[in-house]
Amino acid sequence: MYRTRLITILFILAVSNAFSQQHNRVKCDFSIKENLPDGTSNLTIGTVYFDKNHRKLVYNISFPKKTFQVLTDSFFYEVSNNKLSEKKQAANLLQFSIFNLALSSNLANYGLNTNGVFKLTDVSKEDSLVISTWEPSTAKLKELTGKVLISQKKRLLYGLVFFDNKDKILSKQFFTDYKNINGLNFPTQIIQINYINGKEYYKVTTYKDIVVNATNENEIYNYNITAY
Amino acid sequence: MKIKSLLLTLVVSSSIILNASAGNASLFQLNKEKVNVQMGQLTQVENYVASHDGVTLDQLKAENNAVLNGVNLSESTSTLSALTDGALGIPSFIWGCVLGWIGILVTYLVTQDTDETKKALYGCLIGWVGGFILYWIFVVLIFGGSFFWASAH
Repeated sequence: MYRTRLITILFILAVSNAFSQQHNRVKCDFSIKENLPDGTSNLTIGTVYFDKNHRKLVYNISFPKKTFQVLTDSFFYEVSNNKLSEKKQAANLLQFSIFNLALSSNLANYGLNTNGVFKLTDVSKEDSLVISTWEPSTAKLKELTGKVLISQKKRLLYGLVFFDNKDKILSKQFFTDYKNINGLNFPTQIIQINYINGKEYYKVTTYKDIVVNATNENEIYNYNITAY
Repeated sequence: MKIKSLLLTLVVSSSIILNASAGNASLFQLNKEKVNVQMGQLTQVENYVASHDGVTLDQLKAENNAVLNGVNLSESTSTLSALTDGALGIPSFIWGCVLGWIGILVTYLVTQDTDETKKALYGCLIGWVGGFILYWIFVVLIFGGSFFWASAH
């Protein structure tokens, strides 16, 4: 009797596991518009590819110039005119990209809940927002940085506010216009406001034509950077 | 009467708690119109590029294209800064602590605190052990079926 029940329970769990969505890849067109403190502006347009297993974030950029940029767990590469034009260390940045966070189901808390570096110190509900406060977990880290506020709207990441160690706002990010693609909730617009010397500088990233778990274009998802 | 008093106490307590932590919602107010105004000229360039497939900044500059008027467009890209800006003044190594062994290493390097490092290590091990148990249950017991079918005979 007990064995039958156990088999039934495990069968239900196995079936639900088998049918749950596993997201490994995401591809989308993007544009990044940015105003910089030196008076210049950036406009970057292209298509971005990310494969969670290959651990590569690949930007196929068409504007301002045609180029490929590849971010791995350790390095950032740029390939222009079929030549490696730039290589520099970029340790640990990939983990924190929105693509990795989304595919790893860590976007809602911006990945802060999966490490011991920031600790959750407060949660409150205000209007339609659930706001959590994250503070550096050690005194040493508090010397380097301040708290982070994270707001969620309908259980989706909505906003981030970064403070310095003197409780001054460094930056805000807003994640809006979510779309659900094959069970993956992804924001199609990210608005970032940087506060520098009392002025606000904006950066707007837009994603469209989002494709999840595509099986084609393997050569781009797993861009062979060693060939250059 | 007692129930009324209890409910009243709960309502008052809740409002006190909410008021005590109120005030952060205003930090998350976003003025999209202001953003659109700030990005107006860049949006015009973006729309132009979208309707002229394959055009580059060099080409627009070479032809003195009017769409660049009033915009001091840089030839650099924002992709990497999109990631590094995630740090936003917060050292990038902190953001590297999100997952796995790197987190353990960095926790040690940054804090030089063996207790903190142990906590990170335990967290990592618990994750691995949990994952292994789930894998064993689903793959070996269910899909392999060896346990049940063997015990049935």
